[in-house]
Amino acid sequence: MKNGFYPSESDINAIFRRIDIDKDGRISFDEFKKIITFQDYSKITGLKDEELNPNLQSYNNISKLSVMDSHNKDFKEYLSSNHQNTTNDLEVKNSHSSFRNNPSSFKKERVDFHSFNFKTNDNPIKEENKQGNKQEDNYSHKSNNRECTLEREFNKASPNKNSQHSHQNSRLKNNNSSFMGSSSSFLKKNYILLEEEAFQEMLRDIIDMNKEIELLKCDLAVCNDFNLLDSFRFFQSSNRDYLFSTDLKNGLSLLEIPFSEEEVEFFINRFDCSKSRVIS
Amino acid sequence: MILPLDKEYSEIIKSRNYAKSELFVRNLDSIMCNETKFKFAQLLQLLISQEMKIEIWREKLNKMRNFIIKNMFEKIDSYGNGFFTEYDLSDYLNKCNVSNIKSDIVLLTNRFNRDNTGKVTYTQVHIII
Repeated sequence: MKNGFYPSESDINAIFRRIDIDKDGRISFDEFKKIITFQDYSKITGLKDEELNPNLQSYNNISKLSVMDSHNKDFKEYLSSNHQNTTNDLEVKNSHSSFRNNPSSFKKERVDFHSFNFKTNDNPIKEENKQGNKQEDNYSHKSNNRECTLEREFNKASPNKNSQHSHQNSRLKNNNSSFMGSSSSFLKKNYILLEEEAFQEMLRDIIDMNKEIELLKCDLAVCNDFNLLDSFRFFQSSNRDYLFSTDLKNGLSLLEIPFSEEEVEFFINRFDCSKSRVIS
Repeated sequence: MILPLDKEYSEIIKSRNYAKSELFVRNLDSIMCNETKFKFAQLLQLLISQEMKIEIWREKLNKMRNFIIKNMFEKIDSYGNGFFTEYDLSDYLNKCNVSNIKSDIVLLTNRFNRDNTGKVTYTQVHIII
């Protein structure tokens, strides 16, 4: 494969089985989209999201935040519909006063109301979707002056709800992209590890081969009838002080050593210190 | 190409007398016994096959998309000198459990270091890989 990763036949079959959901032996665009889409990644790989990437934890936190934000509406509903309830009203009053004193603490108060809403509504998000903007309109009509002031103050504190949503969405997107980015960096790190391992394996191989060669050289040095000049002159075709590739080929043929053109070229490259394509 | 790294063995070969040029006409049989000739042939064959094996490694590494020689060089050259010595190589090989034998490290350094300065530069590594 072009990316340097060589999966086996069984690996490819396994990947195909996972992607090809309708088992028609083909990967349709929808199936391809599902494998690429971020949300389905955990389903496809069978790993937990947190296992896939620790950044996902922060992604989940942001998702919770967005859920909490959706409960702002519930809070408003609560203000409009349940303000007659004495105990809850007390909390509302407390929250109002605390907001006036310290607007930054408002978010915290909101969370308390959300926890209340979680208890009362089975699924506040669905509730919110059902009621939609009508509730908001009703709310604006029903709410008393104090609540309107609160709303205005709240809007001042967070200028535009839509912009807040879009901000969170962008954060979500950023987080998504950072997840994708970090997953690619995670893969890249793995690739680099593989490459370093391959490099180390190469070094190991070079050492082993050189050891073998060194042993043979020492063995040859002990032979009384072997000397350097004679072995060099064996390859020499004339009285030149260097060997051409043709000289080398002739010598190798005389010694009955099988070789290819390529091998001779590499051999000359290795021992040609002057880069003149000859061996001195 | 023929001289061993071991200085003693190297000196033995260098000190040996050679045949007079008049008597030697590309005939190893006249000066070497069959056993020596066989060893010489074996050595040449090993040298050739080593180059081919290294070429296969080169191809394999170059196929790897994220393989950058500079990164590998920087890992060995931990002090960032622009070159590495036997000691740097020894540290690296120890770290990655390739070898911790001094003779192995000398062999590998010698393979990279063509000019025998004791310092392996990036260019020298680049030529090999």
